[in-house]
Amino acid sequence: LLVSVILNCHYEGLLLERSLASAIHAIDVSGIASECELIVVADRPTKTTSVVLASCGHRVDRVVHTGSYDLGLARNAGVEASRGRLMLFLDGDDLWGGNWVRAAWAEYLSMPAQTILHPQHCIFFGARSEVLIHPDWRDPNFDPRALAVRNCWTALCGVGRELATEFPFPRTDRRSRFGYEDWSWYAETVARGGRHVVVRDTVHFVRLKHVGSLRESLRGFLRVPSLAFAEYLAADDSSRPHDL
Amino acid sequence: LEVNRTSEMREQPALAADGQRNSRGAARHTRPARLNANERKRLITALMAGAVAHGYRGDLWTLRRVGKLIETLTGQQYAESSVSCLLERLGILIQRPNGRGPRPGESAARRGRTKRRPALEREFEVAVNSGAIDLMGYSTVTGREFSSATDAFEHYSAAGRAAHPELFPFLDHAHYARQLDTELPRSMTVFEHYMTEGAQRCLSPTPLFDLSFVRSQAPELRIQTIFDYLGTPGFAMVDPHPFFSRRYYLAANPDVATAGIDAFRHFFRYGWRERRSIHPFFRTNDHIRFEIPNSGSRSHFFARLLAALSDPLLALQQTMFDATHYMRSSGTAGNIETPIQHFVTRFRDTRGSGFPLFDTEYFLSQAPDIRTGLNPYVEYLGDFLHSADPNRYFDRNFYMRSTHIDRHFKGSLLEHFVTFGGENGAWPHPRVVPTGSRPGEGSGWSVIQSFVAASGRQLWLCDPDYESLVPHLAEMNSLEPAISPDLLKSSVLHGHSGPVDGFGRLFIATVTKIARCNCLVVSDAPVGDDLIAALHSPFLGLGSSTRPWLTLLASSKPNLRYSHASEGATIVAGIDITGDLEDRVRFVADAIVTALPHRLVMMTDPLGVELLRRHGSQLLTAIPEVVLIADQTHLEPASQHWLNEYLLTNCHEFAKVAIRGDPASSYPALGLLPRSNASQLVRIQEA
Repeated sequence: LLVSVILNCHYEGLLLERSLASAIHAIDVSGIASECELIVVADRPTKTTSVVLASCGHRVDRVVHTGSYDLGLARNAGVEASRGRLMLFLDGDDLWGGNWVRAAWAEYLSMPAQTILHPQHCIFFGARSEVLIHPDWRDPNFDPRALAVRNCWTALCGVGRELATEFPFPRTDRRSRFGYEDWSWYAETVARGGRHVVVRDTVHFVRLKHVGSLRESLRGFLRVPSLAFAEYLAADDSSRPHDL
Repeated sequence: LEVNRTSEMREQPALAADGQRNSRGAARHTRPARLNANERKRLITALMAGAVAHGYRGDLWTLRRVGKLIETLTGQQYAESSVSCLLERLGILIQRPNGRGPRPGESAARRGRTKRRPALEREFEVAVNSGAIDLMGYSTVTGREFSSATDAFEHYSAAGRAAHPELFPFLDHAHYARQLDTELPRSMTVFEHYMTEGAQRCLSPTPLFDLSFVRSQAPELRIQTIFDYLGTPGFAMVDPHPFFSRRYYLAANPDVATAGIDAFRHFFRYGWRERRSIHPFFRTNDHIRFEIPNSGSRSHFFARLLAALSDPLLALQQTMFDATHYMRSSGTAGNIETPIQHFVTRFRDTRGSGFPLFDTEYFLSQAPDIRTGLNPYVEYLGDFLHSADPNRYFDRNFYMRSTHIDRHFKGSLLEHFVTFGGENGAWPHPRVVPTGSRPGEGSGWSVIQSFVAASGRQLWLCDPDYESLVPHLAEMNSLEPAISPDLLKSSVLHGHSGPVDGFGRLFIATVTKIARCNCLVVSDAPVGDDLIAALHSPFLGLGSSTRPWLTLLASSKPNLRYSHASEGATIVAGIDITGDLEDRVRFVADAIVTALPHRLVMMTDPLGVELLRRHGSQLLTAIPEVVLIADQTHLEPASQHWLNEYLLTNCHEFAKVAIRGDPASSYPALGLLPRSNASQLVRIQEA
């Protein structure tokens, strides 16, 4: 298989139907639909989510049930269950632009294995309307150290099987209040040689909820520390004493 | 006394309509007078009663006497110079005594009419009424006492061509003479020539007065001479010269505005000596750059000023003027030797723009009441009240919010952006970001405009390429009704788009300096030398022979230092973490978790306690070795109680607790430590 679409769901309920529809549409128009699989990782799903999932079951290749209640671990479970060369992640209440699967696969073929793919634009809708323009590693304005201060990309990325297996997503530590698994994962991959590339003319749509938003649930959390990224930053400053 | 009632009546309707605006809508830069209307009326009445009525010997109002009178009447203390200014504002003529003080309603000419030539009587009266004579200065330079202005004028007239120019400060004899083909007759004064012939020929009485420029702004005033100009009630609305902006002068010199002194008169009397900024393109640093002397004669100063104002080099080092852009936009590419002068004086002919980020038409569409005949860009740069935007991609309210500048900021917001904001990543508009290099095609950005920042670095203003998004939105509308092409109209640019801003750069710089360091010491205030020495001691074991460094990060001072065990401390970066304690705690906590030092030393100061309170479990999990320095830093009682309880339950989470002084009374929990784990407790005195 060429592409594995990994869709995480938990409590999205009826919204899952639209996300599934957008993923299926993107697969159908990709030109490689027969070489794509759709995997849904149901991480302690609510009843409504399970009902929606059951109703769309004929288009889902595999449903992986997990009980970790953790986005990072759910993605890892999806990677483990997948067979494709390129993993494309989608969350249960978000949507892809129609050309994402086709364009991402084409870009993946022309890039080195250590490449992480992102859409060019991300449009947030719902509670607020915002447009995020993802930076490209090749852009002269891009500074990878920006990851120290902001998460440059959304979690809905594309990554080769080797990289996803070698660097699994970290788990959210709710007891110690470390979160933002995608941000930490991006920092880790940047430090270990990953290259984040934007696929031109592609869009994702991310729903911002009025209640129960990620931002609210992670209030007071700090980013999961990345030792590799800290060393990457330390090595960047040649003015430091070597024995500091 | 000569109170100009016409002036007051002309101003009245405009002031009544809008207290902050003048009759043409331009902003005033004056503060309310210290004396209210009632007090001023009482003062004038008292002055009219004469000095004798107030117990003085001789009916002469000196500045000192007037000052005392003001203090007696109102309790306000005025310096003599301020008394002079106040009297000027009240329209009271100041002159040397001729037996009694001046009284309201009495014309100076009538008082001084003696043997003067009748032909110049009216002209002299105009000059006197305009307040453009300096009797005291003339008396000083001639070494004579004059009983009246007429006396002085008689003396001046008698001297003919050789008369000393100090009587008419606004009539620069040397400058005037340079415009004449032939020398004046011996018996003719410069004043006489100017009033009878020179003004008609539009000869310039002083380098900073351009009659044609004045007329172009206010043809209805029918100004013939500089004395008409100074004596016309509406002259405060009219700039005397393209390179003297009244608006800018008052905005850049707020003390002048506060004192309520006319900008042009102030510059002639005091400002030139103080190298005041007179124009957005001629500021204090330009006085110095062109080495214009401010200690010699006024005439010498103005001669050098005039030379500087016509110097082609004036266009250099102008942050807010782009000569190349001007010549390109005005269609005069490369053909102008003095572009900035061309722009300032001939802007109406060329329609060129002086700076890429200033859109004249857009500005005028927002500020239609801009003073006629003046350069809109110069007017914009002098508008420190921020009443209009320079272009459609610069939203002054958004910019002020995003840069934490308030509306009282004394300067042009565009200039702030060009000088500081652009390079620090500040956004001028909710959708527009500045970038340090031109984004490539297909990057998602469209370039709106490029400009050169104050540092000389070229920056690009970029706008998201929304056009390319419309088909995607239309396609998704059938799947998700909330997504439609109209969504873009209400959307703003996400804050993580574009380059990192100034705060982000500060954070990155800090983290880069402390990442994976041997030992990070965080404190609220910079750590003193004695504590640094103690921290280096082997008892605490924070350093080693191979890594003998401490990294000292203080949150409330601009201070990031490296301290070597034997070589001492060095400041490596000035950081200035703005915000309240909560902001600083978040900054430091994020920095620590990102930098992951091998060891972390925390203090029991307000920062340390708040760090533990908000992020204690995270820091103790992420950093392998955390040392707490307990000392007697003053804390709020509630914080002390909280810390004591925290130590009771978490003391073993720390690799060491170092006690400095005798904080046991504040933290009884420390007294329990030795019994449970003696090696964990270190007394810094012993070290």
